[in-house]
Amino acid sequence: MRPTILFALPALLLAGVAHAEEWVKIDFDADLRTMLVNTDSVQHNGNQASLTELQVEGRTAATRGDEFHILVDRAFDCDAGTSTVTKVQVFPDLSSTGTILPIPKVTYSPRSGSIDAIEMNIACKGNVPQSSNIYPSVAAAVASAFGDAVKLPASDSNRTTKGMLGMGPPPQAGVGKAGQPRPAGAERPQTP
Amino acid sequence: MKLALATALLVAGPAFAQTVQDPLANYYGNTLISEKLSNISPYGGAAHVWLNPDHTFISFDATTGGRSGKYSVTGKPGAWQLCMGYSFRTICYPIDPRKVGETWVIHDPDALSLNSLVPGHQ
Repeated sequence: MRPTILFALPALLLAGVAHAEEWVKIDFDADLRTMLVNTDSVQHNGNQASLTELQVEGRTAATRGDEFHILVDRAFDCDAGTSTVTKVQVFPDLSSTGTILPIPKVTYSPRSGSIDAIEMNIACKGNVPQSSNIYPSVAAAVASAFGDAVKLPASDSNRTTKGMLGMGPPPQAGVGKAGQPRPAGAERPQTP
Repeated sequence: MKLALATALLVAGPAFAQTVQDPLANYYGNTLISEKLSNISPYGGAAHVWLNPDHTFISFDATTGGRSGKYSVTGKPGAWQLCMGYSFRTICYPIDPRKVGETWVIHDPDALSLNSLVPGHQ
């Protein structure tokens, strides 16, 4: 019995290391979609680096389900300053084993200030932002991020029936939804 | 008998043609959700799009509220393009016939985007 334990212990320790996760909240967007990075997934070798990102739906969770989440593997060329999405796995809920989606091979330069740029900085330079939102598992991160999203008042959302009424022309270029100047670097809103 | 068959074909014909030829048939009455997977900005967020058979659309997201306009479909099977007319410009996106409940990734003019077709108008 004892030898079994002795043999099993290292295996358990290794398994524990292999599955270690530390999901750090990076940012969220206007839809309260939360982006997190597993800092234990970061790999850096020469000018090549990679990490795994978790996206948790915000307000759109009302449509897709509050446990809908996406895992995205990203690879970076640190010298060229480019990013490539290498894998996208969609999970309708926490019990799902996920669906890997076929993706076009696209390499691009992350825009300054974008979440992709923050992640490239993490992978290439090890600059993990200070965050009090750190989770040991995807399940914990999903539950927390969705909980944060629904705490905000519904009136914050333009994606309501009220927001659909009296639709006029889209905002003028460079002007935000409430007539406030759009922050520098803010891009054209997501369409279609 | 022949008359009945001819009548049935006449009635069924347009509906059949629409199903086969209209790549957006399953989109009508349902919601296309599109969100970026690359170059994600804090000002982004998922866009919800309602496409109507009369070639009008309504789209809305958390940043801009709602927009409406007209769209057109160009191309051929396997290479359809959905061209949406905004006041600032017309933007075309690759699009394919989809079933409700499907999720897929495309490379649109801006970035990689994750898309879903979900039931009803949401």
